[in-house]
Amino acid sequence: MADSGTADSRGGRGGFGRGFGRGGDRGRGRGRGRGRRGARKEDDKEWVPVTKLGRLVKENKIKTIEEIYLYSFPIKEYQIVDRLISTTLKDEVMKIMPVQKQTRAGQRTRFKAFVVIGDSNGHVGLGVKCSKEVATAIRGAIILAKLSVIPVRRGYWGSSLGEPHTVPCKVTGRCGSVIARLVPAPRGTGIVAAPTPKKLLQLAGITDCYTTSRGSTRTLGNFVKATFAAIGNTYGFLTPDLWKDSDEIKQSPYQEFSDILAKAPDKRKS
Amino acid sequence: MAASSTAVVELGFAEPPESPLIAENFPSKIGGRPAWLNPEHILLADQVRCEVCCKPMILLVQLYTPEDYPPEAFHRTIYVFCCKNGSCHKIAWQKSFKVFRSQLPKDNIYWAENESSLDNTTKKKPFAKQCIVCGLLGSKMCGKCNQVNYCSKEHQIEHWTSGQHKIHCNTISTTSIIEEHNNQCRKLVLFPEFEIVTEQEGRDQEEENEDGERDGDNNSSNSKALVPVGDEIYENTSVDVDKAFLKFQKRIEPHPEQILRYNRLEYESEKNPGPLWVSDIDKPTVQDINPCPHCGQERTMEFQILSTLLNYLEINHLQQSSLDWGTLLIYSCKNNCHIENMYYINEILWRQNFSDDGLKWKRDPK
Repeated sequence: MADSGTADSRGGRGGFGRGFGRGGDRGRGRGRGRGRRGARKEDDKEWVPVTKLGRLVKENKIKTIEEIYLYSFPIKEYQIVDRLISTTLKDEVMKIMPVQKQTRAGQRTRFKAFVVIGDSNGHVGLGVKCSKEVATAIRGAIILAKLSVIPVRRGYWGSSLGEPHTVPCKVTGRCGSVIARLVPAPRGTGIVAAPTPKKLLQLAGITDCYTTSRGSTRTLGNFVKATFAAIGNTYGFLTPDLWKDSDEIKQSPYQEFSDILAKAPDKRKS
Repeated sequence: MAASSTAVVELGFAEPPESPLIAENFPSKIGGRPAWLNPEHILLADQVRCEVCCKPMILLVQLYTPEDYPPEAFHRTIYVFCCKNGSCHKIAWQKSFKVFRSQLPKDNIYWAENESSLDNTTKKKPFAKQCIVCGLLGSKMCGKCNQVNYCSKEHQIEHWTSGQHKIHCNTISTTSIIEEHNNQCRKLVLFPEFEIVTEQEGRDQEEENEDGERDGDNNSSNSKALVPVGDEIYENTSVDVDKAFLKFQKRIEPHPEQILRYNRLEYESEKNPGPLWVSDIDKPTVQDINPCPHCGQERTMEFQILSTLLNYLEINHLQQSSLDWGTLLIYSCKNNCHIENMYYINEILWRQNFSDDGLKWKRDPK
């Protein structure tokens, strides 16, 4: 199994660069270690992007997060969201929930953190993280919340006067047994909702909204995810004012070439 | 002191070179022209051609990795070549990378053992002529002046135009201007040059095992007091997260500038850590990593190149098909087999990409 006849470790010669082990009889020019420019301290500050999207954001080739949403690129690094909308993002810890698992030697407790993040101007994110310590769970949940930031479409209740203030249409979202429904409301109504979705809707930037919910809303996880899904559906709804843009969507190839397909196969080659 | 049971990884970082990266110093470097370990027998352009676009490839990374066993591998270098054209990688990435291993015994005719006993005769060994642009074997020559060597027609054309050879051909010009134009030409063709410096990865201070469901460890001190209320005990809200990527990010976090991870630090392969995956897709199977065709031994993972290297290569990322990867894993023969008269042995590179998943919330059907 082990090559015990030879050196038991690559010792002074293995690896590359400085390596480790004894000095002496090694090849020349074994390379050097890191410079002493305080390299260790600078590690924490600077973000070195790993994905292509990250590199583009770091070089400021992408200025707004909407450009990323337009092409549905997956956002894998939370620093991207930090860079693009960091100044206005506020996070809020909704709940820390201890969850337990039964083991032979008693119970193992972990903490589950729900964090909602938003800039009160059309972007929200929701993060859920479980961990042995509260602080770690909150930190992890904030990162996940940043990764899940989603755009919110706002509209008008009546006349389109001033800035949009409410959901554009009735939207609904569900998770588990909970169904959350958001209904447009006239200006000045405020958010008519339970405290949990109210925080979420405030951070989304929706000023007026009626809500209805059904199911076991005591399960906070499901309730908040249902509301989050409802908010996400605002951009998934094709309203009449978007009909004009959808005309640019071409016909499917089956329709476009239907006359060619209708011809007999031997007559097609023309 | 040496690593025994805890698997340690040696990290590589890119830094501007302190001393010139010439072959005598046995450098580990990124980009530039290769510093050949064996200066008499160097690679031809035909051996290093991208099989998609048929242009000669350029040096991506060169690592000096000496070994104890066999004795012919006292000096050992791994060269990784890649095609600069990103679209070739999109079509067939396996054809756009080539890895070569070259080794020399301790007593060789090219490099003296210690600096003090520099024999004059060693310097006069026939060092092969290098292409003035990229450093591969310069088998072709400029027809007019017969003084400049090229590896391929493409580089001859490049040197003629951007290297200003049409001005300098058959004329006497100052070497500094010629060098300046040569460097301009090389900048266009090759990757920017850096030295690779190393550091060991520090041990993880806190082993947070959030996903592991290990029994045994329980915080009995205050757990009894925290009995959850209501019907929330066994709720399980799961989220589709790219766990592999998050683990990768967490591992990189202490040293975010690392570009390279060297795993094979022990002769016993069980003690070496496995590769750090960046996603769950694209993992190589046993069929993908062929055993060494010369000695029949299996190939093990030696090191991996991370995507953070792309930050140093001055690529225009806005292009649709710019060079991109998740991580590149290099597999090489476990025994460093040495074949007589075969100076460069092909090894295997495996590319793993990031997955295309973002954060997905499970949408319940209405």
